Amino acid sequence: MSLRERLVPVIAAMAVFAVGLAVILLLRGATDDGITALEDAKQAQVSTTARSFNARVESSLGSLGALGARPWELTEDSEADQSVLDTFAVDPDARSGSFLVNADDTITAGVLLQPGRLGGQYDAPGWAEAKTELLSQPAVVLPVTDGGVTTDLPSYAFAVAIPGADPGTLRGAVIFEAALTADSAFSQEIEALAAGDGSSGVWRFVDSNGVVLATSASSGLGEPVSDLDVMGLDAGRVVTDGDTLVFAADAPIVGWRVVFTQERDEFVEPLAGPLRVAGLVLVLLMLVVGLVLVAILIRRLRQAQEEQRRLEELARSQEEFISVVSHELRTPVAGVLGFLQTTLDHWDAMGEDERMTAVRRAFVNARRLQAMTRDVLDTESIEAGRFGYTMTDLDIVAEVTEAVEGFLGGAQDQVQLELGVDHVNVHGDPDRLQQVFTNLLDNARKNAPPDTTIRFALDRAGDHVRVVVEDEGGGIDPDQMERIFEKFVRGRDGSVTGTGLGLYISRRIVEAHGGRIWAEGGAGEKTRFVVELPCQPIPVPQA
Amino acid sequence: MSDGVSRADVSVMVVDDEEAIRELARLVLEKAGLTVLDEAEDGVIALERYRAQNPPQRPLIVLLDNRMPGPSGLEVAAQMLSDFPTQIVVLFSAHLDADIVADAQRLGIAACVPKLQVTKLPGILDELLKAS
Repeated sequence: MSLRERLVPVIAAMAVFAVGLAVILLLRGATDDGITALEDAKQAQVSTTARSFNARVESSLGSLGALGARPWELTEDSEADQSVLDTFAVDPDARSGSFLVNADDTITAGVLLQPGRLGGQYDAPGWAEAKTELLSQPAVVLPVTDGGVTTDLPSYAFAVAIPGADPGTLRGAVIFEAALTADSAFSQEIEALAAGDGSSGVWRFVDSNGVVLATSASSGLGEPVSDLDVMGLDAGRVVTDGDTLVFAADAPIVGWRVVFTQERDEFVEPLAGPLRVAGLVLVLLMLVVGLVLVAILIRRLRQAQEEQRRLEELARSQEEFISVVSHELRTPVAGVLGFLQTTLDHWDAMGEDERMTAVRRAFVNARRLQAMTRDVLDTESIEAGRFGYTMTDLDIVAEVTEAVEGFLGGAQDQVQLELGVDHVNVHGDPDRLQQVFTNLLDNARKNAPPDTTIRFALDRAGDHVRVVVEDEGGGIDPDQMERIFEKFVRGRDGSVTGTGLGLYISRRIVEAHGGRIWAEGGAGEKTRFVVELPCQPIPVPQA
Repeated sequence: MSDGVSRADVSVMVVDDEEAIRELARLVLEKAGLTVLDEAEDGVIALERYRAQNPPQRPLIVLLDNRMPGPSGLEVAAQMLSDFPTQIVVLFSAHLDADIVADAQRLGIAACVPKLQVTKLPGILDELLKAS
């Protein structure tokens, strides 16, 4: 295989590999784009949640602000105040409630107050700062504490100012306190956003100190987020923290933050998974198609090489044909011309017997020339598919007898003819069959020692007639048994002269008659050529 | 014939595997007055008989076919010329291509004669003897 031919399947395989790589890159690009879109969508959801939350808190604070504008009677027994406070008791089960604090920080009224807290001092962390802020704004969010006035649970509180008569003074405040519980309104809202069990995705509301106010996780309420600097993150942008994706958005009215976290692999899985499978299927498909293509290409190349080899073999065969024929024709031509020329040149000097011998020699060479010419022309006809037959019903015994009689020209020719039957009808071409028998006799004469007898036997074997030509030629090597029927193979040991076409033509003729021809007899034994031809059945005598 | 050598004194050994060619060569040479001393049908026999003939009588010219069973004419010539470098050897073949002629010259073969020119053999041998 030439380098160029070797390169073709390699280039095809590389092309398939390149297309596969391009598909993988395209899929990877599509995956990246898809993941970006997914992240943007999640960020939008987080931002929307934060905005919605912010709007609701803003609205609530507005309502609470209006509450603060009422001319409160800070008396324990005021039913009016009590009923208003009841209205704002939001979480009776969690013991979260609301209460009033006067300018001296005394708790003067409340709903769901813990025992002993009424009339007591309100001193929650951050309250002092909150009071200062309440001078300039209607409401302030207090940080999460471990326990409150209305609950033992961690809680957060809104403080709403009750302005004094003079501007810049404070009569007191309404404190709205809510416990951080799993069934709080915030918690339920955030639970509704969560994907469900088994997901690593967690929603959280955190206050300005990074403490969790509500979460879709089963723990962490009232505690700072341990594994994440929540307040240090850029809100509104997707952040990758190790293997975790973080989406954050602010509710500025209270300084709180909505945060969603999820492991990146899990987040991208709904998109990357199917794309990965699709990519794998595509690549496998391309691999199979590519391999099939390469296999087809290699097969085509081999076929082309086979064809090239066949053509080269044909060209060699033709060259050999010309070489052998041109060489072998020269000897009989030299014989014919040499004997005739010498006879003519020395006619007077030669006796009659001498002249007769010379002319006979010339004649034998001319016959040899004729036989060779016929072999060459027959081979050319066989190769061209023009080797014709004139088939007729004939008596093979008569044909064999005629062939043997025609062969017996030389004094040393001895043929022992053995006919096992008187007549056998065969459908065939009499000239072609005689050509086969003559070829076999010539072959025997050329290969056997001089003055030995050639046995020529014919007998019937069932629905076949069998002709055996046996000589003392010393047998044939087993590996040559078939080869001697090939073109240009001359002599049983390659030593005998001739065109090497006789057996080749004989086999073609016998096969065209539906028969077989083969050689028998190993090295050192007698050599037998056997021709088997189908014959017509023996007619059953009529009773 | 020049130099006082008559054609009858010119002895030739003919080596060829084809009986018809040996007969033809003998006929042509003898009719021209030369003497065919001996014949051989292949190279092995030719070498045996050539060596056996020396002495008493060595052929003046050996006419060698090239393509024969066993050793080729060129191989036989190489042996003969190795034993007797002055031996006149003529390659007498049906097929003489440039390679064979070049090999023949290299070995010291005196002439190459195509079989188709068999009737010119006496004249060619005369020229060779004259030259030698």
